[in-house]
Amino acid sequence: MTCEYSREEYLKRIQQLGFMTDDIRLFLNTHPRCDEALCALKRYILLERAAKKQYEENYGSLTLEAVGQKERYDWIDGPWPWERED
Amino acid sequence: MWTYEKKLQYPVKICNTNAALAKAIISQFGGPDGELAASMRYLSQRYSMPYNEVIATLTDIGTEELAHMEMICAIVHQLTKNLKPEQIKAQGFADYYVDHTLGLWPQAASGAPFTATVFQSKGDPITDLHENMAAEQKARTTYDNILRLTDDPDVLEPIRFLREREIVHYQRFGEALRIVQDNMDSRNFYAFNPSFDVRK
Repeated sequence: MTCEYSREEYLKRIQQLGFMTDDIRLFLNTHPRCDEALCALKRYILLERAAKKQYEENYGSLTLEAVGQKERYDWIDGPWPWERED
Repeated sequence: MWTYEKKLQYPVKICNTNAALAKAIISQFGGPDGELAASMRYLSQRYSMPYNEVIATLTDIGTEELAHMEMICAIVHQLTKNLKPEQIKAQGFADYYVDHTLGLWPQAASGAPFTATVFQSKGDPITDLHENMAAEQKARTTYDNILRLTDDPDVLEPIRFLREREIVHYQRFGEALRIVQDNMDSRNFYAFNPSFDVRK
């Protein structure tokens, strides 16, 4: 699958979806019986997983899970998260 | 255990260096109300916490603080990237540079090294959660102070995100405190320490 977005745009999408799962999970920790939040968490987990999969097929692995799917060991590839691409 | 994801929680992309600003922002790495202290505080407090909702909250917020620490380090790194000796001198960075070059080291803006003495793990749920709510407010104030020191939108954006997270975490710790209090003697919350005294 080819990617129509730049690496940066794709990463931003993953960061947005990841933020949703982070924030909803915090809410659920203190509201564990909120069905609406649980439903939203499940939805965003799926969306984040799909976005990560597409990113990782086109760019580098974000997780060990993805490294396992690659022919070449790409965990050592930059850029690292704190590096600004010029 | 933990696993690493090769991404920042929120993007950091800073075009212009500013060593003087980096020296202020590094306080949120190793300073008294910084992200490293926040993470160590919450992750340390988990072991004596008797309520599952609160253990989960400490775990997840303690983990998120590590991601915030990485964002702060990315900001400091990008603000000081490829600085020339003349810039280091002109921007008041020589005293940091002489010990750490352009490496990241957890210290306060004052230069005081990171220390566990800035936080508590008291082994009493009510005490610890009040500590955490205060910690989130102290970090929020620090971010407010940083926001007054710059008008660089590349820095303002991620700092505003981090400031907002302090407010959300404060809210969650407030709810956690309420959960603890709901489990206690409503006539006297402080009658016993639920992580130490066994209720008859």
